[in-house]
Amino acid sequence: MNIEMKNGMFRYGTGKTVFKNLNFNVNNGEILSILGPNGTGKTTLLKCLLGMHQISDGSVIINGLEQDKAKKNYHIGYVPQLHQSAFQYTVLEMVLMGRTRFIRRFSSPSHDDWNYAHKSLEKVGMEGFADRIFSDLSGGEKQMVLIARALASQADCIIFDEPTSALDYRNQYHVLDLMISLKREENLAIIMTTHQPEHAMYLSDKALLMDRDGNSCFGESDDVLSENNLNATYGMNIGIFSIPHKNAHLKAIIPLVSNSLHRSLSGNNHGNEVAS
Amino acid sequence: MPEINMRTLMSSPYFFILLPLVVFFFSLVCGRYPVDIKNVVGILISQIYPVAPFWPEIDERVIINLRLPRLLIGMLIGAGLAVSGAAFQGIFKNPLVSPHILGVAAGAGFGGVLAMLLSQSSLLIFIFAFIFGNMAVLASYLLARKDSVTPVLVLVLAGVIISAFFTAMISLLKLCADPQDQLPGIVFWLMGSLISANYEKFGLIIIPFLICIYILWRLRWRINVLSQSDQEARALGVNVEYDKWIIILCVSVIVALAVSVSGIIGWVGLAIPHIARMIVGSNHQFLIPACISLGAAYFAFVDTIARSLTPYEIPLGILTAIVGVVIFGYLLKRNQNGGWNEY
Repeated sequence: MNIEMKNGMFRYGTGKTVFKNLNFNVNNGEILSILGPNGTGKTTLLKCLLGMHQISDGSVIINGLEQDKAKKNYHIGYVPQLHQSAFQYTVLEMVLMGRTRFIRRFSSPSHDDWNYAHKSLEKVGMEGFADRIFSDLSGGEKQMVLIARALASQADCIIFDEPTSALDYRNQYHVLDLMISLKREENLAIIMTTHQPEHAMYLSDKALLMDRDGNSCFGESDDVLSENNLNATYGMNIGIFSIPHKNAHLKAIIPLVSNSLHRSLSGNNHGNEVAS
Repeated sequence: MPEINMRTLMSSPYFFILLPLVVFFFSLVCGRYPVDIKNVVGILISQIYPVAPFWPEIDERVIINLRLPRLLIGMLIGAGLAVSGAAFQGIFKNPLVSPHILGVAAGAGFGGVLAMLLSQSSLLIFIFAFIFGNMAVLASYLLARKDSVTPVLVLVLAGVIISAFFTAMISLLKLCADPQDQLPGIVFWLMGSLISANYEKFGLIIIPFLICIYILWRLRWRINVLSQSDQEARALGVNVEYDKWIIILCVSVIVALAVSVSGIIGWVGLAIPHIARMIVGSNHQFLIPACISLGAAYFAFVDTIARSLTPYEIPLGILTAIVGVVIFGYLLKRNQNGGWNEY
């Protein structure tokens, strides 16, 4: 699958322009990270890609066809940032909802749909949770189930809206590693929004930076996620450091705010030595 | 002796088939004029297969002319209101929603009262209640619609506004009614009763009722998906606006017809889906059939009490609330988290 936006622009009615001149693309087996401060239109952009909004100008080309014409030839799965449901469904029932596009309006899930839901749960390692109540799960477990639901829809591309924002350190990387394995094993195109540049650096092939003035920067993630670009996008000093660890060098992104500098200079830094 | 798990027993499909059947015969037997169960069975069989009568003629008249049409209408309305409540709670993503939320009951109530002021014809009451009930829903829809979408919260608020308007109009009509001749009839009708049930009314409502209940039954999987956020439901491949309005249309027809036959009866559409959810869980694939069974049995049971308990008929609206409060309160106490989430 190939998704490409050319000169994309969006505004609500005749109101404020949310984003403009947006150019990017993502293919099968690639992860695109979308970064930017709050209010730069990341979620609006996702809604445009999901077909919930129409861009005001420019074009979205999917597999070589305009988005409207290509609609029946692809499916984009969606993993929301926060899931709230008034009712208690089991984990398997939640995953089964991913099969909805294969179930006719006046029909119910078939035996095959139930099997597919089971297999999707297995893919994310949650098969033992099938009969548990979804709302009783931890944040990380819920995220896994929602990923299984997107997989059950046999999507060609999955969009993640800030997938790690409510998770602890361990679960954040558990989800990110799963996204990498989905890219490799399922050959999916993956698009995610995030507020954590280090996550984008950890897993993405491509990155799109959006700033408050409607400007954007797109390219290979190693090129786009530079100190200069991050500083300009977020309007603050952000340092990228190389940390020696065992026989390798790890990249770390640290916001250079006065308190963290103060704590480092006063000798409170008990971590690894940092070489810029 | 192995312990019998009541929840497992109650969630069995046999329970939901047997319960309305038991209540059906209970309702035919019970009343201020009790009829022997053997006679009831004989009378029912004689309607489809020739049997030599072994029962007094008065038993047949009581069962066939009075109790049976009333029971059939009651079970139909109970099933319809309960299914409507479950469907509305699902698509509005809120366990506190009743099928009256979009103003259909208040609108139908206004239509019925207006017809009672103009004439005593039960057909006119039926027609006016049906028309005004659906007009109220249309008004809520037009009030809430903006840019080709009707957000759920705005729709509920529009329903509250339209309900308030028609409730005020009912009060105004009551003020204009003759306090000797018209007002008592209006007040009694508004409290709900099946006293005027007959085969003619049953014939009028059965086809639209069955069609609407059948559509909601077939949409039961979609209601699960619609109970997720609109954004998620769209991403899962659902045409949210279209499906939502099929359901709203079916519920409006059911509630408007129910009010036109029995007056305004609350609580059934709110409490029965919760009781069913405590037994079978939240999945509407199982919840909708459970609501059909429990709603029919509950309404028939309450109506039997309404006509049997005292020499005077007790309005159904009062009894559905009292009996519902007791059952619902007991189950809520036993099962604090009854199939819905707090957030």
